[in-house]
Amino acid sequence: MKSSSALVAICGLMLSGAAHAGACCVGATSTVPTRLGECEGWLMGMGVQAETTTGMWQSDGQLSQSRMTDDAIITTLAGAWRWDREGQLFATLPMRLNHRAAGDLSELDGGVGDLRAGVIWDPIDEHASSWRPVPVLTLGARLPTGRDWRDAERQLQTDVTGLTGTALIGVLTAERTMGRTPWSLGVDLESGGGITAMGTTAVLGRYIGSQWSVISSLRHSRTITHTGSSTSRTNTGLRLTRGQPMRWRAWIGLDADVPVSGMGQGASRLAHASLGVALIR
Amino acid sequence: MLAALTILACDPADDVPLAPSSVDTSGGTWNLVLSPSPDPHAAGEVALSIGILSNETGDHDPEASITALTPWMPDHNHGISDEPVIINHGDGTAEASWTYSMSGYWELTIAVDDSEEATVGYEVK
Repeated sequence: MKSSSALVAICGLMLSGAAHAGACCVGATSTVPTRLGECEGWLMGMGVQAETTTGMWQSDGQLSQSRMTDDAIITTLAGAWRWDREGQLFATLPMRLNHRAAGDLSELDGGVGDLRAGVIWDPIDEHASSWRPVPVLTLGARLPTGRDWRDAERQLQTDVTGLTGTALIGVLTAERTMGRTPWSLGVDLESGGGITAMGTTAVLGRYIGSQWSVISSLRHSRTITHTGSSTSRTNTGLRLTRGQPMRWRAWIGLDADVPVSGMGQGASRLAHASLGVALIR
Repeated sequence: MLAALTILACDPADDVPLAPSSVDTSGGTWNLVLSPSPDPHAAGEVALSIGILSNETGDHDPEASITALTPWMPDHNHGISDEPVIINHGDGTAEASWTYSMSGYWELTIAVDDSEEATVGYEVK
């Protein structure tokens, strides 16, 4: 596994960012590849993400190198179904293949991760105002379908694919598309299994022609355990999406934790490259 | 809400000595002299030599033994997969070995005779 703080990050709503590693998880409707647009009824998608550890933030926030190799390939299946203009259901299921090497030890293992599912409620039609952002509320749960550290049998815990216990997920965003520029600002919370994770995410994008968009994101997240210990990280990313409404979307993305002292604490610094595709009707 | 929760998140590591060469047990009966290998500890297989000194006599206490050693990553709320292997030499010294599954801040809680314990922290490279 990566660190618990990475696994707990609230990213279950999309595939293209960091599916479980703290990148852009909240965005305007049309800029989140696996979130359904108003005219769309259902979606099935799959994303593949390569994750690597580039270093660490120590507990005092200073940057340091990690002497271990810590990489993963994360394949995520996603589905969504809209039953109403205001509401849609979503579910994501990751599968992790973890590789770690430290000293004389080298391990490769993995399995199914934690299922995330929930409801996205978008009560206000953005077109009702020419400028006002609209709220979007997500409520869901993380279910412990993965293997947590207590059941690990490998010394470097590469067989760990999930977190302890069930968690509740809540995300609130304000979103708006100004001309050809979508943006959103959101806060999220995921709590359960002895860990509470929270974050703030800012997303700014640009539509290019009728089929392309480019999206940038900046996210700061923090995890707090039930004993009060905490970690934090800051991540920035860029994603290019191409698609046709009611037919398909495909995307590629890059994101990385910001390598600046003080922008994180007690956490591995991660980088991701991702791609994905979704069929939409 | 985020700011409030952030402020509320105290850091329990403030009370835990970081990589000390020695530490007193909770009741003050013993002083544990610690020699990590490698020094500093790194992810993977590590060992810790422990000298158990009586604070009353200042000498190694052959009657005392290390009864448990628990690595814990408090910031991430998890431990390790396999129990550490502890060898007490019967002369007031002991050797423990285990595997850190990842880099980062870890705490070791070391129990002596199941009666007193000491907790120390390590920034594992």
